[in-house]
Amino acid sequence: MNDTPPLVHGHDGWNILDGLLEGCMIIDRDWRYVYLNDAAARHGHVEKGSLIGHTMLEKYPGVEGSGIFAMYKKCMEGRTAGHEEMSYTFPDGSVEWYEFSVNPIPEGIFVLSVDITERKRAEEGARLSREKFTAAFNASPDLMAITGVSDGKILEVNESYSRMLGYSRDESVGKTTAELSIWADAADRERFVAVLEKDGQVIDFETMLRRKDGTTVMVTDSARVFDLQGEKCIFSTAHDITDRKRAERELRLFRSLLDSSSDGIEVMDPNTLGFVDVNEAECRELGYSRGELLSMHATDIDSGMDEERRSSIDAQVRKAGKAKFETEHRRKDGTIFPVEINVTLVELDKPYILSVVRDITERKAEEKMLRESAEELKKYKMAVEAASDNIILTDREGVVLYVNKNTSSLTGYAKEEILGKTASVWGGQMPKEFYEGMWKTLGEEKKPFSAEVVNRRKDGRLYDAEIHISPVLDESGEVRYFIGVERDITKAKEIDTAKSEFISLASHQMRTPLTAINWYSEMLIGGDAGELNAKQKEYFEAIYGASQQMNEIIKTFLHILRLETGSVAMNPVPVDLGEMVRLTVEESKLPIDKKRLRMREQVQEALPPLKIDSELVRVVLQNLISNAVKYTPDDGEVAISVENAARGSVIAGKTAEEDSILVSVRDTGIGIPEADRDKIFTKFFRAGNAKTWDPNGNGLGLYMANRMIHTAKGTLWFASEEGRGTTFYALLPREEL
Amino acid sequence: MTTDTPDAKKVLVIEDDEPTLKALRIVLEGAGLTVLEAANGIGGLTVALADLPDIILLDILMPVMDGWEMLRQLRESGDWGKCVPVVILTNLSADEDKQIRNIAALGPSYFMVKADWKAEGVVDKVLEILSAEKVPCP
Repeated sequence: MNDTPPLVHGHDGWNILDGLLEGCMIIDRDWRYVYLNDAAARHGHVEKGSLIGHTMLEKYPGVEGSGIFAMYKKCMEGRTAGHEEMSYTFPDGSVEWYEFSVNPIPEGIFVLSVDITERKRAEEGARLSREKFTAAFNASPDLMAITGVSDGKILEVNESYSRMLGYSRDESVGKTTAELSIWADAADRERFVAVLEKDGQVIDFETMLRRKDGTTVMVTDSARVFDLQGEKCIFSTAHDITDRKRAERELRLFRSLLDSSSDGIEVMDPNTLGFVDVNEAECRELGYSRGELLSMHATDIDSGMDEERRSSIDAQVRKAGKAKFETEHRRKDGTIFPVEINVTLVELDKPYILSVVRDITERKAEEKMLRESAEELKKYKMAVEAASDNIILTDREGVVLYVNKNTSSLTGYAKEEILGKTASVWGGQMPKEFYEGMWKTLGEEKKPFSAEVVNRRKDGRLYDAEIHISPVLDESGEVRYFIGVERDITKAKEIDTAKSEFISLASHQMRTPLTAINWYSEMLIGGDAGELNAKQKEYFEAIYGASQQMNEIIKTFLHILRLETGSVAMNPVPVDLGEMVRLTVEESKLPIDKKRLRMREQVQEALPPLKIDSELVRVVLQNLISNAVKYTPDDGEVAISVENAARGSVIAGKTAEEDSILVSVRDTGIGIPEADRDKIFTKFFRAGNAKTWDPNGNGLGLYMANRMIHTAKGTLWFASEEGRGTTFYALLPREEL
Repeated sequence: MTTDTPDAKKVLVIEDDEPTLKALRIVLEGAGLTVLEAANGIGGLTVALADLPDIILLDILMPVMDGWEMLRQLRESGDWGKCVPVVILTNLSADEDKQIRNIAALGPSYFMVKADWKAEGVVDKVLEILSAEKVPCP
């Protein structure tokens, strides 16, 4: 205290300064501390007494480099006042802030110091906080913007804003979002603003923003109104949800993919086999709702597996990661259906079992059908193989592809000797024209062919065979195969011969006694054994008539027997039809005269000569004419006409297929009832009205006539009206003379 | 029984059925013909070759030798046998294969089904053939 400044009067006078909060200090021109009050000592972190009389440099080594010293020096040397806020770092590391006012005084300088450390600290805190917010604002991955409510102008944007939308901060601040066309949908903006105005905030508003380059970005926009320095502002954030949207879309797509799958898909927990997810197809197939299934287990719907099999599959899935198997599922309604299951073990957050379930009902049915048809085929093959006829399959060229067992046993050729060759191995015995005709029918007309042929065994023996060959056509109507059936009819032929010999014999045996009855009656009636009285003559005539009738019946039976055994020998000879008609009418003279029938015979002049079996024509004419006479009432009319019918001419609805002779017999008789018309040519059939009319008919006449005309390749038909009459038409093909 | 009329034409009837044969003899003799008889083919052939009848009525179905066989041997026996008129008088039908073949091969003058003809008709046919001008022998 030796250097107490002279300005200070009395020690006590200075003492009042100790009560001040501000530090007061006098430093002389030699940098010695002359005075300091309590506050200054506090500010300097020293005892008041330890400083007085000491220089600053002495007490604070290194102080020359500090800002405080520079300020003091400037004032000390330049004699100018200074005012500054400064910090000082003490040797213990603590930092304090002071507001210094330095004034030059004659002794040196007067320093007034105020401790502003606290204010400084508060200020620093605020600065740091602001910097943090700005950094966070900019570092936010979401777009952030502050907009004025009054003018809608953008006040601030963050870096994400620029990154997301492509506008720089400078391009945006001072403009409205409308000017920048940031909202892709103006209507969205209006809705957004409306909510904001109403609630003061908007949260997660989904919309689309447009970038500077015109592309768009999906965001959820949130905003809140707040006060910024007395002005209402909007703080908005926008979160880019493009990725989320894509993920959502992918998820939806995946879901719809699952649901559109026609196979059932199940996701299961591998430990419990409980369903975690199922697709629609699986729900549909099983008849359960998705909710119902999600509370169930795979074992609840399976009905085709026992525990052992399930564990074996389970083991396989665990080992190989997948398995494929067939089992049965039970629907909610209890029905059971077969399924094929493809199981894959999938590792996601944890392992899952992914099952693809396919309904294989149809496949099973098809498999069953295939099995059955294979079985069927086997049966057919057996039947064909074991058939007692020869069955031969050839290609379209006639090359043999298959023969059954019987073919070998009949012909004596082993299968290997036949396969790959034609049937001429054992055939070929017929004239060349026969085979030409056969191939014409089969190959060109593609029609079945039947014939009786003579074939030859391997040992050279000939045999009679009946063959039926059918072409098998493909879709385009071309011949693909021929199927031939050949039957050995040697024995049948022998039987046939024996039969016709028997018929021949029978006819002889029955007619022999008849001949005697005929002739002796005839002689008696003729008076060869003396004159008979009237009664005797009448009786013998009855015997003679009955015997004649008997002969006719026998003849009819013989005709039929021969027709049916096919032993009728057609013996075509030139026939004078006109003459034959006259003779036949003559035979019926008695009833014609008795019933006073008008007979009209019209035989075409210059009729081309007809070569035909005369017996056949006789039988036909006799039956048709006698029927007409028999079934026509008294005073009726019977008209017989014989005329030429050239090929192609149409007669009563039928067309002559070749040059023919038409015989027609028209009567005004009782007619054929409609119901009986389709049976009129049936053996032993008699029309209802015919039976009433004449109970004695045998029902064979028309049958025989029809058979005979058929044998001659002709046609017999009729037109009839009950109660009005009938016309029979016989069309007989003319044989070349 | 035969008549001894020297210029009467001779008919040989070969027929195994006795009543038929008898009836034929009655009607044929009634027509003034001399009737020779045989009951089968062998007998018929013997009589024919011995007596050289003007016409032969021949049944077909007979024991020992049937009519067709007899006719074959007759036709092969020589010029007379080849040309003598033979009428087949049978109850077999002419439209059977076998009869047709034989008719064609052995050339009978006529084929009559007994049951279809009156006895009188048979006589008429015989007389008709006998009175016909001789046709050159085949």
